[in-house]
Formats: sequence, C-alpha cells, structure tokens
Amino acid sequence: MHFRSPHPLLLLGVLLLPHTAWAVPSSASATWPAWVWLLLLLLTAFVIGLFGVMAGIGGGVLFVPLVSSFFPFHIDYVRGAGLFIALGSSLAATPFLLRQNLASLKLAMPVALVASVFSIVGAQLGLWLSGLDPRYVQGALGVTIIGIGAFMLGVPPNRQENLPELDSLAKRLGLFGHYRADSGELADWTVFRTAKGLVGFIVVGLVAGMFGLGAGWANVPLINLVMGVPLKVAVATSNLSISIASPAAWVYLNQGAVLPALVAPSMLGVMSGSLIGSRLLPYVPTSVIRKMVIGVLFLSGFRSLLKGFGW
Amino acid sequence: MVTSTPSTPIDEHQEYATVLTWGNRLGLLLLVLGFVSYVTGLLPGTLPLNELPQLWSLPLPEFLAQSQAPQGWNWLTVAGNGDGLAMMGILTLGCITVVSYSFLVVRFLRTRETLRLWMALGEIAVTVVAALGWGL
Repeated sequence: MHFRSPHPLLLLGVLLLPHTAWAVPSSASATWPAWVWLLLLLLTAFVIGLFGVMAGIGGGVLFVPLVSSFFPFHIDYVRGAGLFIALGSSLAATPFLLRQNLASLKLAMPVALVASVFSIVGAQLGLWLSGLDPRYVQGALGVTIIGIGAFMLGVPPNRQENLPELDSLAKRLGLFGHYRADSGELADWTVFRTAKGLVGFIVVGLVAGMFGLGAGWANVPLINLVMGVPLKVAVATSNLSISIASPAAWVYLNQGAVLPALVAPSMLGVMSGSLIGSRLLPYVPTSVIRKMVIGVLFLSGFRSLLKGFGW
Repeated sequence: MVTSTPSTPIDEHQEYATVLTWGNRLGLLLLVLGFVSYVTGLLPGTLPLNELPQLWSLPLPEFLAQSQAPQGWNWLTVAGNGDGLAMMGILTLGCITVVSYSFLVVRFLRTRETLRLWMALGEIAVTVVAALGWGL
C-alpha cells in the first residue's frame, strides 16, 4: 500500500483546524452546548495523538498547551486530563514493548521512583501557583513549552549506538540486557552515567507534575543520550516509566481537578489518534512532521505565555 | 556487541505485561461505558452535562463550591451515574501501578532481590500516599 505524502502545510492546517475555537468569543463557553465542546475536544485530542506519535513525542506534551490555550476549560482540569492521557497512552503501549524485551523493568523502576516522588512535589507546586493566580502557571507553561521546543530542535533524533562501560551503580541495579536490533540480531545494552541520569529525572518529575505533561520528550533523550541506552530501548522504557509514575495524577484527582467529562474524550481521542498515527508512520515524512510539531509547540507556548500576561 | 541468547520475554516482563493488559482493558471499558451513557443520557450525571459550560472555566475552589462535585475516592458514592462510572475507569487506571507492583513484590521476596524489593515497596508507598491524599 502506498500513500502520497501530504503537503506539510496541509498537515499543519489539519493540526490547527480544531483550534479555530480560539477565534470564538469567550461567551461561547457558556452559550455553546457542552457536547459541541466535548466533540471538539475529542477531535483535537485525536489530531494531537495522530501527530504526537508520528513526531515521536507522544500526545501529552502537545495536549496541555494547546487545549489550555484554545479551549474555555480552566488550566487545572486540562493538566489533570493531561496526566491521565499520558498514563492511559503509556499503559496501552507498554505490554507489547515488555513482551518484546524492548522496555526494561529493571531500568524503569529506579527512573520511575525518582520521577514519581518529584512529580508529587511538582503537582503540589502547580496547584499552589494556580491557586495564587492561574496566569502564573499559564505563563510558566508557555516558557516551559518554548524551552521544550528549543530543546527538541537541538537534540538529534538518533545517534550512533554503542556499548558504554557499565558504571558501579548500574552494576548494582542490574541495568543491562539485550534487545533485537534493527539488523534482526540480538544486541546487548548497558547503562552508564546512572547517577546523572537519575538526577535528570528529578527535573522531569517536577515539570511533568507541575504542568500535567507527558514526560516522553525528556525521558528519551535522558535515557538515550545521558545514560547511553540504545534509542529503541530508551523509547520503550520511557513508555514503561510513564505508566508507572502515576502519583501526580492522583494529586490532581484528590484535589477535584479531574473531570471525567473532559478526561474521557481526551483520552479516547489521543489513544485512537496514536493508534492510527503508528499505522501511518511508515508512509509519512516523519522529519517534516517533527519540525511541524515543534512549530506548533512554539505557537502554543507563545499563546500560553501571552495568556499568562493576560493578553 | 551481539549475543546469541534467545530473546524470549523475561518472566517478570510477561507477568507484569499481563496485569497491565487486563487492568488497562477494564479501565478503558468503564471509561467508555460511563462516558457514552453520560453524554447520551442513559445514566444520570453527577455534574449535569448542560451545566458543564458554566463550571469548567471556574477556578478549582469555586468549581467545587458551585458544583458540589465529589473529590477523589468520594466519586465511588456516585458510581451509578454516567460520569461516576467513567471516573471508576479513571480510578482503575490509576490503581494499576499498585496492583502490578504488588506482583513484583511477591516475586522479589521469592528471588531475594532486596534492592529491587525496596524500590518496588517505595513506589507502592509513594503511589498509595498520593492516592489517599495523606498529607498532600
């Protein structure tokens, strides 16, 4: 089956299409029936899932800045939904990755433990800031998303895979294994700079908990570039660790910031979009889509920043 | 470096994947059933659908005061409503880590992997504290 690659501008249009809601006056929130908004949310989440998976960053990092900028929902409920989207998407993908030995439970356990503890701190900090003034969170989210966009521009999507020497902490934690490489042969993987990598997950946990973002955008470079794990294993283990590190989602849930009516269409949209996106992956120009998604990150980051300033 | 070891799924991966698969299926099933029955009106809503647009833009304290919506585990009391049923799906997804890690604890006790046992217990403790809202 052959698909003709769609024009990048057409793809960009599709990605931004549901966000024409931005042009709608704010009174529309109260006058439009709820089902219209929920349908728009479902469509937006579908498009986010579709492009998130094709760009290799997952849907969570796109969901919060886009939905909080262009929909009438308070940012607290969007962040609560964002954490459950990240959790649901990773739970769906992880069993396959574990059975293929691509995701490593040995590696994910320490990573997820560090991220879990600090995601609680991040979630508390985010809700406290939002209680002072939601514009603080919106502005900080804008700066963070622009930073993530710049970070993604600077990080190479792949690298030469090598076998670093196991450090002492990695040896103690048993952080090594093997996986099926692209060549079809079984290759070993090991971990080095384990302590530095784990310190990095403190920041990832804080940011993910504070803004309700999925952490794939940071997990993969940390596991791959800092800890020296091959990209395939890094992507799969990142998924597994997101599925484990659920405490921040509980903080939002206990505070009452998780609305089932928003979580359900968001999660269903992102998951079905990711499913179709992963099937389309071999036929679409992923580098173009990655650049385009980075562009959307910058746009939504600036929009969040402007909202933070009350503009 | 290439090894000749066969890549059959590791036992603990297999067991963990099975728990995730079934937990995820159950959670999503409840989520979809609840949401569909909520928007179609098959089941009543704790937060009536037509009132949502007046509520979802409110800051959290005002939202809770106006809607009288349950928080956290109190959603269990309205599990028979459409949005309550959807919330049961969300709670199920949130509980999967504790259930799957409990299997790991049993495994690590058997294999006497002390360090990993403590890590598993640590993750369960952090998740339970967050889930019960103790001190948070």
